[in-house]
Amino acid sequence: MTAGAAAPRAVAVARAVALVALALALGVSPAHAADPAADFRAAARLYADGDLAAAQAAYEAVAAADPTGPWADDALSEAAGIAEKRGELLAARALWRRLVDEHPTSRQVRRARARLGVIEAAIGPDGRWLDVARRHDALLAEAVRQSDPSPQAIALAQLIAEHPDYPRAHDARMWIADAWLRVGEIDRAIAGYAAAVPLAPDALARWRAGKAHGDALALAGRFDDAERVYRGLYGQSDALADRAVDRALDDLATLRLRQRLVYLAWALIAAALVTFVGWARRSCGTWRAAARALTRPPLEVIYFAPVALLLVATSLTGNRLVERAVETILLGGLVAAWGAGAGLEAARRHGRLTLAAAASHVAAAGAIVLAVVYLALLDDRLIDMIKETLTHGHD
Amino acid sequence: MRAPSFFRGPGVSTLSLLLLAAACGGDDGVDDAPDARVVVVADGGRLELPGCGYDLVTRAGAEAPAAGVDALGADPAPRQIHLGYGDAPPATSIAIVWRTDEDTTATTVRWGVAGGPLDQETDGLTYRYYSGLAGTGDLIRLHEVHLCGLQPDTAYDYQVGGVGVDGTEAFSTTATFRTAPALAASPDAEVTIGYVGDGRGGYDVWTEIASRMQTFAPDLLVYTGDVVTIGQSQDEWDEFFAGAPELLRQVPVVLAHGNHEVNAIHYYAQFAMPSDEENFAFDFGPLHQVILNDSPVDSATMAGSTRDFLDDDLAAAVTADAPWKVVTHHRSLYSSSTNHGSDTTLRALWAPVYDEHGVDLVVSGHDHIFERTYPIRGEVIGTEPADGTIYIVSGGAGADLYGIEPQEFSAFSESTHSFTVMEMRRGMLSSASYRADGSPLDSFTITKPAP
Repeated sequence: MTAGAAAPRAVAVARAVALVALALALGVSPAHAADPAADFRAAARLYADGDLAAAQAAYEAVAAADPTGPWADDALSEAAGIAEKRGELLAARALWRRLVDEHPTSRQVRRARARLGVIEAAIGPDGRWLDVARRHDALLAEAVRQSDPSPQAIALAQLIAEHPDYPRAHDARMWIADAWLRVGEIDRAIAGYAAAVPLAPDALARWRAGKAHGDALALAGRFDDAERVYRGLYGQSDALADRAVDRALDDLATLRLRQRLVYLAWALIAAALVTFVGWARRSCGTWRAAARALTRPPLEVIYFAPVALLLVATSLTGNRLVERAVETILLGGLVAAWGAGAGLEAARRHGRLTLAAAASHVAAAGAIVLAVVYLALLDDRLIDMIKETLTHGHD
Repeated sequence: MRAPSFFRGPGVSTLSLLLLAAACGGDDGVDDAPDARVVVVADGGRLELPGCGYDLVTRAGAEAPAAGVDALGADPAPRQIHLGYGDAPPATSIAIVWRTDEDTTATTVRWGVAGGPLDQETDGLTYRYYSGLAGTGDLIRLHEVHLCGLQPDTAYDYQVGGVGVDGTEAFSTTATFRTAPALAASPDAEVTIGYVGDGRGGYDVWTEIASRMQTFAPDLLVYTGDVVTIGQSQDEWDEFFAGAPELLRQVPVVLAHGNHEVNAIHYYAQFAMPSDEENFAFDFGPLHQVILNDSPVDSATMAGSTRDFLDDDLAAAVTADAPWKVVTHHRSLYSSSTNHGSDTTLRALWAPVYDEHGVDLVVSGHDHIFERTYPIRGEVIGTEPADGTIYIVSGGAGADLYGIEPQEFSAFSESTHSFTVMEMRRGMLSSASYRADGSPLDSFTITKPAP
């Protein structure tokens, strides 16, 4: 027992000496050798510069130089965290364990215990899954900020296929299905979730995978399949999970209704268009004449087109000032059109519609619109913004 | 820097709510129990918290707090145990809140330094509020105990519960919390802060995120708002607590009010937060955390008292040399989401204050995405952290996701369920965001020269 205990201690001392030497070689100044705070900050600089290996070594050196000092627990924690980031899971496990054993009252202990749990769950108590876990984490890290994580999803699927008993295989399967969903490969995502359900390690994981499967089916518009999957989730977890299923089924009912209304909307549009064509055919007598009539813009379109264009242009600006101005102009235009139109209708009914009267109505309506446009442009100095945009371009 | 008194709400107009609990009196003369007419006056009120020197104030919609009295109801087992803060510093205090059946009024916390005996006992206050709209629904019984005068950076074990008139005990199992480090004593202490928001309606995702977050052992949880879809829906609040029981009884949580909370009494009654529980700030080790309500009852306050509070608080924080200044509110000043997108009105109000006082990060939600901007100052997009404030949208705790059209200010964005964990110490802030499944999403590090 004694010899067995002494040997690891000797190894630890030798390791500490080597680490101090390494840290010195990495640029932790000898002048600061007795200043753990300065050494700690030097390690932090290495980390911030992205030199993770050097930072880990430097933190370990701080802990080794003064194992009972006030910086030792933080240094071990930082070193362990970096080791995890680097995929050095055995080193990370050893560092977190040291932290728990040597600094049991440190504020870092709770994190150390939590991370030990994560690492041991990933690599297994005997470390047999270390290599798989490392490759798994490396693929996830590679996929960060990739708009298309398909290569990593394929590689991870291969890895899991080779190691179906890997403790994090379920997490990996779910990540792969999520990745397919992110890139729009919804059928692959659905297949992925479906495959993950029976292989889930526990009831909660199975429920989550099932819920994700149902969600993906709903997203794909396969409502009947989604409903079947959702209903199968009842009773698999707790009452709150059942309530989540209730909500999913409610959402599904809404999606179904919306889908039906979409069909109805398109049917109405198609029917109306067919009706228009039919009317034209009946009025004109021949299909050729009807086609000519339908391609000639009617008076309504000539009036409506500029308004529609204005509304489209407004929607493109996304600017609240412009929106407000358009509202004002359209309201002013409505008032002008009403006044001028009602007057013209009355003149026509009483047989007093002359060209001069029509022209004066148009001029009056035009004047009102111009005035309203000017007032709208002055509102909150919109006119200056437009001038600036025209002069200097969009910001 | 901090609001001067613990205040849980303005003295709003009197709202007396009556609950008529019909007695099941028999008409045969055998059951001669009198009619039970329970009158609950829910005007709110205030009472000094034992041992802390400040008041606990309840708002209209909840009854006035009362001292706990030894009495246990039919189901006195403490549940929904969670931690927060009152108006004492997080380095030396904690607030513990839990729920029981309505008839249990015993309100006691047994506590002691972690690993030792629970040799201290502190009594607290209790109050009720209605689970439904304006005096309808069940009465929810809450208990609140604040422990003050604790040692900084120290772990404590605790149990909550109480004793009945016959001596029967109903206490929870033991849990542990840790006080924040005091910057004066531990200038280089590191804290881990979790940021998450918009879990509403996504119970399954929230439970997964909560369990993933625990593996990073945060010291504090900051929620960016919209815990629930309807603020008065007690069922949804129950889901929030049920989704993270272990996390919430170990890690204090502070929240920014989200528009879906609709300033409901449920929000203000169930959490212990400093000041008026809407706009407040506190130091947590090297972090100076500001929380703002950007959907208050009176929206004019955002340009008035809230902006003034923000300005004054950040000015004081600069003087106090708080290493990291983080502001959290619900709506996002910068967001590439196609749903809400950037709130330019709020940006015009508050961004100049952030710029003036050198706020490092603004973490918000509202859009159900994850996004991190480049540093921005005066609407000018920079590249280095020193160029301005980094805005993070962390609105992916479970609600249905929104689409994204990345804008020029966006350094990274993804429509995904997510949470963010930040490690902060003097000189360095490291942020890592993860999807709900625990896979890495985004990370960045900011350094500042140590003073």
